[in-house]
Amino acid sequence: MSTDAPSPDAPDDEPSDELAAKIFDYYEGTLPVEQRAEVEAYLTARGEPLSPAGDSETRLVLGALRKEAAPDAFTEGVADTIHRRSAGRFFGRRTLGDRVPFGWVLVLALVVLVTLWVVLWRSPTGSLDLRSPPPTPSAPGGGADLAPTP
Amino acid sequence: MADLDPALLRRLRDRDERAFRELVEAHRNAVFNLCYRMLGNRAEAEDLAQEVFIAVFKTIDGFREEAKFTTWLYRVAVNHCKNRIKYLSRRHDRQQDELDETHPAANDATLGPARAARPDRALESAQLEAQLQAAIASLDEEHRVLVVLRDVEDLSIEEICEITGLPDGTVKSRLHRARAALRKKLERHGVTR
Repeated sequence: MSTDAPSPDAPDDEPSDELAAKIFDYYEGTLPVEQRAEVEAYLTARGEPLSPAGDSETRLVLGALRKEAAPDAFTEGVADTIHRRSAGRFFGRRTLGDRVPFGWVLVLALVVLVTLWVVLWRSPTGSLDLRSPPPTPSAPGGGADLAPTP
Repeated sequence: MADLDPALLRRLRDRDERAFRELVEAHRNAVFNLCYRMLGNRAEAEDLAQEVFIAVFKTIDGFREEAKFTTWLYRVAVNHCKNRIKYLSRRHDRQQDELDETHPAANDATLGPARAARPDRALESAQLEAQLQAAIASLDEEHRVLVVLRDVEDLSIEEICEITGLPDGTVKSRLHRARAALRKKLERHGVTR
């Protein structure tokens, strides 16, 4: 347990940190029975209430404090302040890597490449032109006539 | 304060403005109330609560999900409150420095002989509210933050330890001293017996 400076409003006769923590537990009703005697002896000597609910009135008063609501324009005020201070760059301030889905672009590119490869592999022309090549026209009269005679 | 939806956290990290607005809407009253009870001044509390959210947005990437978001948010808010109290104290800000001795609503003469039969009923009086606020403000910041977190915000000792980074025993001993000091002040003003 760390040492703790007493509050300026605290009485002169201050309990040690350890005892103060026990008194806290005592008033909260969480102090083990075997440790109560020490706390009760201290409280009795100082005329303090001897009941686990000893400081319950203070706690009740504090707990009943009204919950203060933020002003209606609070959210707008926060957004305006952020816009003003960041010159509009804070919201949506993302790098190119955040804006472009590079992962999906890569997958798409791979699919396109594989498709192209398959098309080229199966193409009879070896190109993207999938039409069969027209038959080579044979020469009239047969090619043999054109053969040079020795 | 409810904890943070993971989808909302992702959107916050993507700097989605609508997500930021959702977050502010969900937590604005809790943060504002904490700031108000710590500072005792609405204008200061509003300004500080704004700064708390701006700090949260700037550092949301650093939020580690093993901690509860609300604990982290409270920690940011408490640190801002402490810094602001120090700043106001250095500036000798009148509103912050007015303790119960000088606070008009906390003056004994305004209390009269009336003593609250039931504190919760007595709180209907704005005067009593001002006395309580002044009594809280008169505590030093370390004690004040614990009283506000425990007795006003109703957080558990474990949560307070996480928020403040203090050991369990220190939180308890400080709370005991803070309550004792408050009890004396409130008794002096006839708020409690």
